[in-house]
Amino acid sequence: MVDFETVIFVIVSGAAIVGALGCVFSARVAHSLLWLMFTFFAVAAAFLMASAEMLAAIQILVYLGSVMLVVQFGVMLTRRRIQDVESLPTLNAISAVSGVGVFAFILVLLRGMMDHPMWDSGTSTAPTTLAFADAIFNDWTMATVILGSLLAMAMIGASYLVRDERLVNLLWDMGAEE
Amino acid sequence: MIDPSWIAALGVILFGIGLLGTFYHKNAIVVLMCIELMLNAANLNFVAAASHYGDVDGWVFTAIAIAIAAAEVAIGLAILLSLYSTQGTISLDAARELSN
Repeated sequence: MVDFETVIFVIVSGAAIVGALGCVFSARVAHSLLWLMFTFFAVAAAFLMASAEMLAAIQILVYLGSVMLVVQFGVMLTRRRIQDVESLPTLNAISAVSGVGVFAFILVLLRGMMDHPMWDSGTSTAPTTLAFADAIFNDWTMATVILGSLLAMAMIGASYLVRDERLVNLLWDMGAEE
Repeated sequence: MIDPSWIAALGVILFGIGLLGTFYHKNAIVVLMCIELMLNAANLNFVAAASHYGDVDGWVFTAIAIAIAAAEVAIGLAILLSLYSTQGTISLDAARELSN
């Protein structure tokens, strides 16, 4: 008898892998982005299955809600037509070798991961969201504060990088007529 | 709860696919998306270890990684937008002003 939870996990991980492959092998950047959002939904479901409900909520709110929106704007602002087909590199010998190499890397890493002795010992009782809040605001307070200032610096830096310094805009800023 | 080693295995597979994407693509935005994929795979590993040991620190690291990924995407896209306005393309083969 197959466990119901195992079936759900196989479906979720299959969806994540299909989405990741679709992100890599789509010819259009907009389609890549949609596949990536699909993958992130599946990863949020995997977080839920590891009973990390808070992280699943953060994943959906922060990643799918804001990061993917920013990437979407980037896709829209860096091309003339939204459905432009990318010139994918043709599958030559080098990319075939690198694909085989990455596949072998995945297999070696999977074997090392699944056979690792750390899985033999452990409590296997997941922490609670209350413990998570306690850890963030008591044990890791300084890290949270530094993280907030890092985010503020990143946003200020990003808006500095995309400023428009054309002369006509500078003149308009100083009150000149059109 | 599912066995945490399976979640770590899913993380390994997603990391490999993201790595392949960074090798394969020339569009800088797609490379950025594949880096996001690899970050998510690392987060899956943190969550698997946290639920295996019953320790909440893995969740804290995951939350920090998600916040840093948001900052990284904002900065990366700002650089790509300014590259597009100066060069007219964001192909990684065309952006080689610093190479010589």
